[in-house]
Amino acid sequence: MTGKEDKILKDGKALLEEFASALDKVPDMEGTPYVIELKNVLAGDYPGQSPSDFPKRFSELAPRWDFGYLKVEKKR
Amino acid sequence: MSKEHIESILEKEDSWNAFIEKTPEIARSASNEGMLAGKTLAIKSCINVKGALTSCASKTLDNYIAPYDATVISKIKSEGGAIIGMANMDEFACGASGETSYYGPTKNPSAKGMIPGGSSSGSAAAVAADLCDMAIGTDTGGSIRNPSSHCGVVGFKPTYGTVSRYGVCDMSMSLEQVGPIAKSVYDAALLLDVISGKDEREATTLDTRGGFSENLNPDLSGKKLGYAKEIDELIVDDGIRTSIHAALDKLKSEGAEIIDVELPSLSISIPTYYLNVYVEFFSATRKYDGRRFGHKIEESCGEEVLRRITLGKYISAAEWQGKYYRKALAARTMIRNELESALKDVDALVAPVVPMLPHKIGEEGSNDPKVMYAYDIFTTPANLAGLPAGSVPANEVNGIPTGLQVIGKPLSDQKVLDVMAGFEAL
Repeated sequence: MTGKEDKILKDGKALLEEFASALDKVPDMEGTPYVIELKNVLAGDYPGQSPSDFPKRFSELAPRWDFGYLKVEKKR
Repeated sequence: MSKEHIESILEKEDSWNAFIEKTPEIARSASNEGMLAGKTLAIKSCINVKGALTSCASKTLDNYIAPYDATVISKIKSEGGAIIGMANMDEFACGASGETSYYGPTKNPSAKGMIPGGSSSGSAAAVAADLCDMAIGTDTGGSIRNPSSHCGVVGFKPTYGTVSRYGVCDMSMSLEQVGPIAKSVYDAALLLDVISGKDEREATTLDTRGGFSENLNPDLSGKKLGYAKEIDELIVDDGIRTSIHAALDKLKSEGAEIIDVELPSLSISIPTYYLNVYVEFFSATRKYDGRRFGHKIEESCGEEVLRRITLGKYISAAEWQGKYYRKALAARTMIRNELESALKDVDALVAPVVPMLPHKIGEEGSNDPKVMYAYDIFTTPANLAGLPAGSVPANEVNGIPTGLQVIGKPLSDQKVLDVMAGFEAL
């Protein structure tokens, strides 16, 4: 965590405490993560689309390619 | 379509920093046919427009040229809309002032020196400054209605699920909706006709019937409109109080009945909203790791974005969920139930959009989250409950526009637009 993130977290914890305190009197009840019912939906069958330039355009956005492979930093 | 109209719009000088990028080639390729033929549009920079810089007003995506069109963009193009540019906004839609963009703050064309509101700041400013005919914004906690109010234009957040979010760089997936900003309620309804409807690529979309502009009925007589008494206690500026009561008087003079309703949990809408947003925003931003596109977000974003990521990560940790996130989800249920009850015997609720007048650009305190979040108290409840809500110009206070907010039951978008049209006609 950077120094900037450290400071934001330190100041932010006070803000979170204020928020938690404001919600202190909310009774236990079922929460609402979504206002509509979420379902697994399968897309309908349809004929394949004509070749799109999406893969080419998307690959051009990557910062670094070496020998045809996308090159990325190891996870820090 | 008048090609001259497009060219004249493209040539207009943007003195308000309403646009991050103009898209003349895309505008000139617009079809001459369709419901939006002849209309020029600004698009909020968090919505993918193929071939255009879709930066979310952040350094994180300052080299991201969208490789595809969002569903709303495909629909606009198929109806002849001419997309003239990518509008400025608060970075990643995290703000209510239009000041947090990596590309500099948007200026308010309708109130010199004041913030235009946010986060759809450029969309509202472009419409207000006549730099386009209409615009697309997104609204997660008021980001269409707030800048529409401050800039004196019409803005509408549809019922959650009415408009596809496919191709939108979302801020908070359970709260966000795409919606129109326009110079009139009719134009907003027309744009909603085009962009609404089921999308197979977006599982939260609903089958909506459209026809909003065709069915617009501005008759206010006999309309029952609820006004919560708690609102007056939460208004900060007397000018806003005077403005909303003048609006209520106008509505009554046209035969509408104002009915007292109760929203006791209105005062906790801000903590409820932000605790939800922090968690969802942290999740939504994990894709900005700088590997396949853009830059790593934590190393390139501004302070408010970093705050939301950092706090979202913190409260997502299992040991804190019961204290913050689960509590906020329960509070969301409570607010939703109260709104449902308040709306039970009325056609719609009316309220101010914001509790206070906009501050001056760069004013001290504008970096303070508590100061900024305070603008959202009357707009976030509609997002928490997924309700349709719009802002229509109501009045001016010290030369600054203020809007009347109209909120409806789920899927009563037509009724909300009708009340807005009725008020607009007064």
